[in-house]
Amino acid sequence: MIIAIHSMEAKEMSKISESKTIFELLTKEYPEAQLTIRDKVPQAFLITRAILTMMEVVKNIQCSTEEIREICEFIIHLIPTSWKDTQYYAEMEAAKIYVVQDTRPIFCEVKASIDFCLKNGIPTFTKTLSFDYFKVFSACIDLLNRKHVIAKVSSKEISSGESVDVQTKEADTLDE
Amino acid sequence: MSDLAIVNYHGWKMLQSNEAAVGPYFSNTIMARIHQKKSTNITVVVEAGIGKSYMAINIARMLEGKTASGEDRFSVEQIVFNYKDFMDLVLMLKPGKVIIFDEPSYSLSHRDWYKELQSALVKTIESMRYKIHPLIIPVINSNLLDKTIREYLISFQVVMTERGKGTVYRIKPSQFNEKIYREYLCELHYRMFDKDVCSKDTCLSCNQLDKCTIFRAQYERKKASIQEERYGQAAEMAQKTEAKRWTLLQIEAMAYELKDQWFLEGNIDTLKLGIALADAHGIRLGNNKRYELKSMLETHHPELAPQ
Repeated sequence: MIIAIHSMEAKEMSKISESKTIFELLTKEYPEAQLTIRDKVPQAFLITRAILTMMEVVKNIQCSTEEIREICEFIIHLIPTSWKDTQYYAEMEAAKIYVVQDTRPIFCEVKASIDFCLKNGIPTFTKTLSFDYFKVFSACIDLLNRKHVIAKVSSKEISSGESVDVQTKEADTLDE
Repeated sequence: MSDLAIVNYHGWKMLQSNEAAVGPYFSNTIMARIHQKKSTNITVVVEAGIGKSYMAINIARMLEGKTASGEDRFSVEQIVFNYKDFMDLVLMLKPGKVIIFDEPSYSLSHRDWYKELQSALVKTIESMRYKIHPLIIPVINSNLLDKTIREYLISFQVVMTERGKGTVYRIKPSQFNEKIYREYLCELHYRMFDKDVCSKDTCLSCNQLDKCTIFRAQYERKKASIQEERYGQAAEMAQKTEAKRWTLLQIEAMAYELKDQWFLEGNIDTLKLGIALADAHGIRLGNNKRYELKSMLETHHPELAPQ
């Protein structure tokens, strides 16, 4: 009898799964289901984790530039595009570097001369655009700092208590 | 701090720097609330003698600013010490004008003052929405205020750390539980206002206090007059209390000194005897006591007895 019930449930489930997705099933059970603040992506945690990973990578004596590149790219993609300001783009521009690679062919363990390559149309050097990833990381940190994500900013209202002779428009509008 | 500059804020000198996060954060927040016609109640809390009243006045003067002729828009009349004056101001003042409900120091019983303040706040919850008068309350400790008021009615709390310095918190009660959140807003650093006009730290020892036109002198004069009034009332109350303790024999001696007022045509006028005692010593006697006193006077002073 119990087996029969189970088989019934399994059949019904298979029917449902054929016709509806899991999300639909969830929303059927909880029609008011929606994301709450707890379900949101913990942006601050992810950024902190990425920065800590960067620290670990740099700390490692065997770290490769590829690792640094990857973690920097990860941080860049974690930062929302809307946060990125002109100063960030200027700093990123300044972090640009060109990697020059010698592409001359080797014959009998001897590199072909430049004249030979130019004569035969063989490319000698290639310039590849890259970044100084420490500068990139620094640009990201600066951006996060400007957005008051890293350091807590203590705002201050300071007045000397002295009056100014010239009046502002703001002050005049108060009379209205 | 390359971008540090002195700016003109409502006629007052204020420092501004985006890099150092210095600017009129608190004043702008309050001004925005005034323009949005929101009710704004602020408490300035610190122990006695740190200058919470001065801080409240400085905030108000900063908010209201100066006129084109360089005069303060905020006047000393906007500082009240009791409920009646507060209600008068609420009705009389133009919208947007700040009111300071100051603590009357040692003159009025603190308990009475808090009762008055609480009734003032509770009764004006609704009217504040229409009248738009930011209210600043300098108080020794916010716990002295009613729980409902300090947690649900006060929007900002300035916790003073030393003279002219304080931290501003935005008070936000949770709508889901009983928690009250106090969000840090900014630091306030106000030097003593009008220091360029008068460099004295206090008005209390100044011999120019009676005629000085500086705002803090005007405030001190108003506060002193309130104090004097309260002291007068307290002295009267003390005399009344003392009068209750006097024995009839003592009262007889006092009454005999006023003989001219009540011994008329060879008789003691009991009514005039009572009036004379009330006028001279604040002693009020009932009918029976007056006749008892009359009998005593006639017995002890035979010349007063009817012939």
